[in-house]
Order: sequence, then C-alpha cells, then structure tokens
Amino acid sequence: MSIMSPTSAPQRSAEHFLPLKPDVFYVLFVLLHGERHGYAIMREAAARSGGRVELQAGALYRLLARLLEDGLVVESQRRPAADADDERRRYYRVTPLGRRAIAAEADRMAALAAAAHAALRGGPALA
Amino acid sequence: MADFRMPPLNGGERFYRALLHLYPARFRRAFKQDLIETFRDERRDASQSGVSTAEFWLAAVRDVLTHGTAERIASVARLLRSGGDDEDTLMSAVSGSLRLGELRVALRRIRRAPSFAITTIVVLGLGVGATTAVFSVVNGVLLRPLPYRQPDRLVEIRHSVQVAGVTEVDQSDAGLLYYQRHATAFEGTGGWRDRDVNVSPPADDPGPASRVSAAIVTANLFDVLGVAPELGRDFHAGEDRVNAPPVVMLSHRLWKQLFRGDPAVLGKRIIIDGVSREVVGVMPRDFVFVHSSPDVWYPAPLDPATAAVTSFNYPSIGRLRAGETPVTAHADLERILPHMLDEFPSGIPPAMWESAHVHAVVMPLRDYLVGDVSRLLWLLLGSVSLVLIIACANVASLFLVRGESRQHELAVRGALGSGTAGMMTQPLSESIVLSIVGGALGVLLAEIGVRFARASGGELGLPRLEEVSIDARVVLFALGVSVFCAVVVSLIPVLRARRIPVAIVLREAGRGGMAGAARQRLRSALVVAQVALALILVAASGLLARSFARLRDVRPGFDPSGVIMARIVLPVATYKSYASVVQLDNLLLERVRAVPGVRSAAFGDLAPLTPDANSTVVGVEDHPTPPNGIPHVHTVVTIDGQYFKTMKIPMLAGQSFSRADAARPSSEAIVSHAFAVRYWPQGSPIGKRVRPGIDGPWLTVIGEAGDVHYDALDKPLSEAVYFPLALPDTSVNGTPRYVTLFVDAKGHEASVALAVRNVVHSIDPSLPTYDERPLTDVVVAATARARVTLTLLAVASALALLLGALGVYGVMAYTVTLRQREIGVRMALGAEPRAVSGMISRQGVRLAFIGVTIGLAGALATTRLLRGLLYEVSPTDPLALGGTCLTLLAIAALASWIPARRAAAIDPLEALRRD
Repeated sequence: MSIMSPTSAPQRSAEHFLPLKPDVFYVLFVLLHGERHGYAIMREAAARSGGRVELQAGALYRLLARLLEDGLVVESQRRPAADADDERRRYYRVTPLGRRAIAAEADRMAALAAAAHAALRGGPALA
Repeated sequence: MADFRMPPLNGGERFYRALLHLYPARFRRAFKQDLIETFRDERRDASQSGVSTAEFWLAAVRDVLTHGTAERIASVARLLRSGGDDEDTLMSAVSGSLRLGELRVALRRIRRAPSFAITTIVVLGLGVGATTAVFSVVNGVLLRPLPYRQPDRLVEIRHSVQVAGVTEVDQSDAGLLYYQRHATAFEGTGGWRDRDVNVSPPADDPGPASRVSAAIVTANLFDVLGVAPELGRDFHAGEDRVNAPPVVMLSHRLWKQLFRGDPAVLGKRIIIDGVSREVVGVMPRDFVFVHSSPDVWYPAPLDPATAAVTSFNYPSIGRLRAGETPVTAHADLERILPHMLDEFPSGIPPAMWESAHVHAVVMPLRDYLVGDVSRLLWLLLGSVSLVLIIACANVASLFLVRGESRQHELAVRGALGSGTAGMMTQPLSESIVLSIVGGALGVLLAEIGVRFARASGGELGLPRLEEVSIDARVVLFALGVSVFCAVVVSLIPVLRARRIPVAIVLREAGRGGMAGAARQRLRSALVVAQVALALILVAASGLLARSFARLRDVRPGFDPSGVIMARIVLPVATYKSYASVVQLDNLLLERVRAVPGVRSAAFGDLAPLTPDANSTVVGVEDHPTPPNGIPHVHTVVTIDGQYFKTMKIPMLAGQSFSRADAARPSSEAIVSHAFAVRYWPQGSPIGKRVRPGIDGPWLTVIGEAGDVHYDALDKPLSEAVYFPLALPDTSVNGTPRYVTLFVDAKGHEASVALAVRNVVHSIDPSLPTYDERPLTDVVVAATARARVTLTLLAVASALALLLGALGVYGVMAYTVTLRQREIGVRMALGAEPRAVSGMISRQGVRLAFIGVTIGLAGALATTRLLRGLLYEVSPTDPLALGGTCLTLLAIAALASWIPARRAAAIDPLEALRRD
C-alpha cells in the first residue's frame, strides 16, 4: 500500500538524511566494511567509536527498521561462507543510497573540520 | 564453532521471548528472531567477561522496556499521522467529537449509565487533582520567574573554602565593600543579614514590645533587586556606614499593624533593639524578600576600617550587567579576590588566608533559592503522574467494557468504510465530556491540595511558598491533562476494535467468544500495567517509610520530654557590659527556678536541631595547628551549669560548671564524647586544655558530656565544646546576647510557659520572649521533611493500590461473566466449586504476578532517584521491595477472591439455559 506513497524511498536524495546522527553514522560506517548481522554491528560500532556508540539491542533494531524503511540498508540475500553461518541469522548490507548518504556526511564533516581548524589557526585568540 | 544447532530453550530465554511482547506486533514480526539471536550472543559474551547475571538481566529488561515502549508510542504516532489506511487524523476525530450534536448524544448516553459516569469522573478527578496540585507547587516554586526586575540577571554570590567542617560560606562585610568597589561584571552587588529584633511601638501609642524578623541590608539592596518602595524613599548611598543617621523601612504588614496604614508614617520614629530609627519608606504589599520574610529593613553599619574578610555573615546577591553571565562574573571575582587582603588586612596572616583557598561561587539566584527542593518536587510530580496513568488505565478498562456493547456497531461501521476518526468520534466525545468534568473536580481537589501544601510546605523546606497558587498556567495544565486522559481512554478500545476481523465480531456478537477474548487480553494487559506502576510507587514509599523509621530511632542525645524553650535577645543599647548580661541571666534563672513545677532551668546560646548550630574555631593545646595551617572548627555551645541536667545529657566523666559570676570568670570547659575521642582516643579529656578562637584564654576541661546531634539527626554526632557563660576574656567569644532558656517542667508545661513569660516581663518589660515551644516540637520538626515526603508518597501509593485493586477486581469479575457458560459446563461435569474459585483466583494472581515482575524491574531502575532522601536505607533494600511485592500480591489475591466466590456460586443449569 505504500507503492503509491509520494515519500517512498528511491525518490529521496542522500542530502535529505543529513546530518546523520552518530549512531546512524556508525551503523552505516560498519556496514561499509561488509555485510554484518545485528550483534556484529553492535560490537563493531562500539569498537570503531572507541566505546562512544554503545547500542542496545532494542535501539539497534529500531534503528535498522528505520534505515530499512528509508532504503539506506537492505537485508542481504547472499550469505557468508556456509559453514560459519547460522541459518536463522539475518545479514544487512548498505545500499547505494546509504553509501551516498555516508559520503555526503563525510564531506560535510570534513568541511566543518577544515573550517574549525582554520579558525583555530588564524582566528582571534579566545578571550 | 561449526556445531550451531538449535540451542536448548531455557527458562531465561523463554522469559525474554515473553518480554518481547512489549514491542508492537509488526516490529516483533520483523525482528523477533534477530533480537533473540542477539540476546544469546550477549548472554554468552556477558558470562565470558564476568558480568553478573543480575546486571545482565537488569540491562536486558531495561532495554526491552525502554525501546518497546518507545516503538509502541512511535507506531501509535505514525498511525495517527497517517490514519492507517486513509486520510483520517486524530484532529478530525477531535473536531468531529466536539460538534454540538455529538456532545449532546454523548451526554444522553452518559446519563443512561450514571454509575459508569460517576466512577469515571471520580477516578479521573483523583488523578487530575493530585497531578494538578503537585504541578501548582512546581509551577510556583520552580517555574515562575522571581518577582524582581529582570530576575534572570540576579545571581547569588557565595564562597567556597577549604576549612575542616565548612565548604561554602556567604559574604563578609569586607567582601561586600570590596566587591562594590572593584567588581566590574555587576550593575551592583549587595547583601544582608537576617536577625530577630525587638520593636517598641511609636512613642504616642504605647503597647507591648514585639519580636519581628529584620534584615540588615546594604543601602543598594532594593536597587539590586529592582524593587521600589510603595511609600517614601529607598535607602541613600552612605546610609550603610557606621555612624550614619539611623533609618528603617517597614513591611506593608507592619505598617498596617503599627501605624494602621497611616501615610504620615514617614519621618516618624520607632525603637528597634533600643535604637530609635526614622521611618523612611514602606515596601509594597506583594513584595517578597529573597529568602526570609522580614518586617523591617535597616542599613548595616559597615565600617571599612574594621571590616574583616573572614566574617562570612552576609548572604549576598548581585545584578549582572547586560551580556555578563555567571561564568564571566565568576572570572571577574576570581580576578580581584587575591588582592582583597591588601585592602582589608583584617589582622590575618596572608599565608593563612591563602591556605583557606577562598573562591567565589556565582549561581543564578533562582537555582540557589530552589536548591535541593527541585529534585524532591520533580520526584513528587513523577509519582502523581504515575497515579494519573494508573487512573487512565483504569478508566480505559471501564471504557472497554462499555465498548463491548458497541462492538457490533463499530464493526458494522468499520465494514461500511468508516475510518479510525469516524469510529473514534463517539467514544471520544463521551470521554471528553467525562474528562472535563473529572478535570473540574480535579482542579477543586487541587485547590485543597494547594492549601495543604501551603500549610505543610514550610516543613518540607519549600522556598517561595507564598507564590504557590492555582493560576492560568495551572488551569491550562489541568485542561491539558484532562484532554490527554480523554484521548488515551477512548483511543485504546478503538485501536483495538480496528484489529478484530469484522466477520468474527458479527458472528460472535453477544456470545463472548474470540473477540471478547481479544478484548479481555487487552484488559489484562491494562491490569498488568496498573499493578506494575503501583508497585513502583508502593516500593518508593516503602523505602521512605523504612528510612523515616530509622531516622526516628536516632537518639538526639538529649531528652526533650517535659522541656520547654523560650528565646530572648539582650540588646546592646540596654545591656552594654558583659557583667550586666551575666547578672540578668543569673537573675532570670533564679526566678524561673523558683516557679512551682520547674525541676531545673538553664541557658544555652543555641538550641539543638535548629539552624542555630554554628561552627567556630577552637584551639586544642596538645594538638596545635601547624603554622599558617587551618585551625580546628567545632560546634561551640555557651551554657550555664544546669544545662546538662535540664536537657538530660549524661555526664560521662567529671562535672558541670558552677554558677556563673562575672567578677570571678571561669577557666573551665566541657567537651562532648565525640570531641574527646577525636583528640584523646586513648586517655581521658579531663585536665586537657582548649580555648575559644586562635588566641583566646586556655580553659581546662573539667567534664565529658554525652554526645548530641546539634546539626541534624541524619548528620554525624557533633564534636562539641561547651564554654561557661562567664569567660576570662570576653572579647574572644563575644557576649552571648542571643540566649535560649530551657526549662524542665514535666507535667506543668503550660503553666510554667506562662510563668516564664511573666518572669521575663517583670525583670525587663522591653524584653519580649519568642520562639516559645516544647523541645519535643524541635525534634519533631527535625524529621518533618522526611515525614511530609513520606505522607505525600504514601497518599499517592494508597491511591495507586486502590485503583490497582479495582482494576484486578474489574477484570476478574468480567472474566467470570464471560466464562459463565464454560464454568457452568465444568460444574455440570462435576467440577468442585472450590476448584472453580481456585482457578479464577489463580488467574488474577497470575496477572498480578506478571505486573509485580515488571514493576520490580521498574522499581529497581527508578528507586535510585530516591537516594538523597534515604537515611541508612539502600534504594534496593530487599525488605522494603520484598514487602511491597507481597503486599501487591496479597491485594490482588483479595481482589480476585470476590469474583472467584461468585464463580463458585454459579448455578450450572442457570448458566447453560442462557442464550
């Protein structure tokens, strides 16, 4: 019933999602490195953020539900090596739109960082 | 790890699966398997990394509770926004339900079911009333701006110090002058001291002297506050210097009382503590002073020549310049503070001043005034909100029962294409009418609550009480809460109705089949929620009750029974010399002791468990302070010899002072047991020497007295030193001009209290006695805050328990009705009545058990908010929490016992003959 909906995912641009919240950013960032199941995403997001993004299971799956709905992430059909796999686990993969969103966020943060560094170097000293 | 087969389904995992039902069905369908896999992974890792089972489960339950609830709210919000399948919105339902025709229909329907209407109105009224009452206190105390010009620019200025026993102090007279000269971040800074004074009436109108509270202020203080007098003028600059002409400003109240509101009061003189002062102004009626309510204000006699940087006696405020913040103002004060001693040497070695580490503390005045009360108030608001939610759940189940009869109609309307809004209109208009009436009842109840708050708020230590009232914002709040209730109450049944297939409803209409069962499940869920929320409240008051009991068991160290106290202040103008004070004290004691019924009487300069208690520097001969080090600070009490006998404080060793005599000063002191243990843990304190201040005369310890809680019952025992009334060097400890008379008059308290007043009057008619009360009142007041908090929470939990019990009863009674046929069949087939009643009871208790389990997790997560309010009780005290669980289960058992008995009494023939 959402086929006719004017806000269905493919029509949105990557910029629509900016700025990405830290938890969203890290989930997408982790998935850039390959397909992962839920628990692996939690562990890796915590590790890559130096412990700053500690997602609980409920938070992660609510987030994934939104990312799936927005078309930033899809459930992977392909499975990793069959012997290491548990039939019932679901794996998630980032979509091209998700890649564009995280690229746009990275650009935005880079520009911000550059501006801040410039201000710190050349700007007036803090009173 | 290749052998991943189906892992065994153990109890913990089954519980987790059950918990997952907190998520909405759609979400659960999509992610249940993922969540369970993750749960297994987490549990494996937790056990490997040594996380305790309790910790792991607490985290898991909290995760499901928070995210399950959040997802449910989000899905309801989504549904309302999109209206499900069509463009229906909540707003269109609301506006539809407010059409006059609909309201009239609603009224008619309500009139036809008066008991339903009354129950709903009373339950909602209680919920809205309790919430609104507490909100009006929150509004008056926390939300309303302070009644001054640009109040957000006002800051409180205090100082942090590193001196044993003291962490924060007010402002000194030198500091006041110094900041006024050098601080640049402020438009002005000022200060005041609170004091009780004797006011004699104007000369042409003789009457008794009265005791009023006064504030001795800097001349610019009203200017800093931004308040002008109603009559006359503000103080002029320079009037707050020693030897300035004595002036005074009156409160509106005192002006009415002493001068009957005569505008010609300006220029007249009144006598305050023996000094004649000219009245220059009257403050407005609604003026509220910062945190006391004085009746007279007069300028402080500041003297730049003798001002000392360490006499931190003045609460102080400042008005920030535009653009300044508390942070920049703090920086400004820190900039100038190090040079203060250059301007005001105060006879203090610079190294000692440095070692005290005096730093400025600047905070918004409002935050300072509200202080630690804010947490208590938000906590109370949280508690009554829980009661409100329970009330809503309760009324929602009433609506569900009522909706039963309309189910057929709703199903038909749904089948004919009516959307959510259309189906909601009728119940919504009905619940809006009921909620508004309930809300009005709530506002009435809140009015009573506010009266109560004003009467007992003082005991809670609530500031700004005179500003608490029911204003427009409070009424709006009540209205908002009522509408919220209306929507919640009518939404739940309708959202549910949309899910049940029409065919089933139509087929089973009137027979209590599957559709009925689905509704019954929802009602059970509501009961579980009510029990869980009630448990949290009851657990909180259980903890507070345990804490209160502990606090009440603390022995103050003296026996207040039969002792009355009265205070007197001896003005400097009349009692100039030290000898005259001692002489008056002795004369008073002699006469009071001669009053029939008096067992003993004594003086002390402070009363225990009151804000009197102060800490002063004390020197200990064999524990000298290192050079430039921080001296010892202790509670110092100046007393006469019969103090211990009157207060029934035991003498552990040695003896008490003999009669004071100014001509032959005493060189003796007495120390408390705690003091003795601190300095001489091995030996006896007798014969050791202590002295007042850093250079007072040495006094020999002649006795060791039992310990007393001077500060507060929940603070440690005071390490106190007792000095005699007549000291060799009067300049050190000052002359005790504020004296408290303690009289042991067991059995004759009333007559003796009157006699004491007469004795004082007969000796000096210009000396009023004040603060006359039994010492037991002082001890009771010391636990008042704990008691009032406990009472409020106990009322909230009693309401919650009552509503919860009603909920269990309602759902079980309805279960019996629904299962009448089935029960009839069972009994016809030979089931014992007892088995039938047991079956129903067990079902009720099972519901309560689920509620108790969820509530316990909630309580464990929330009772930590109580930590600051608990005395020697852990927020997870097993006795309180266990007792709470048992209480709830017992009440649930009782509430389901009545329907169970009814079930057992069902006549099988009768039940089967129906339909």
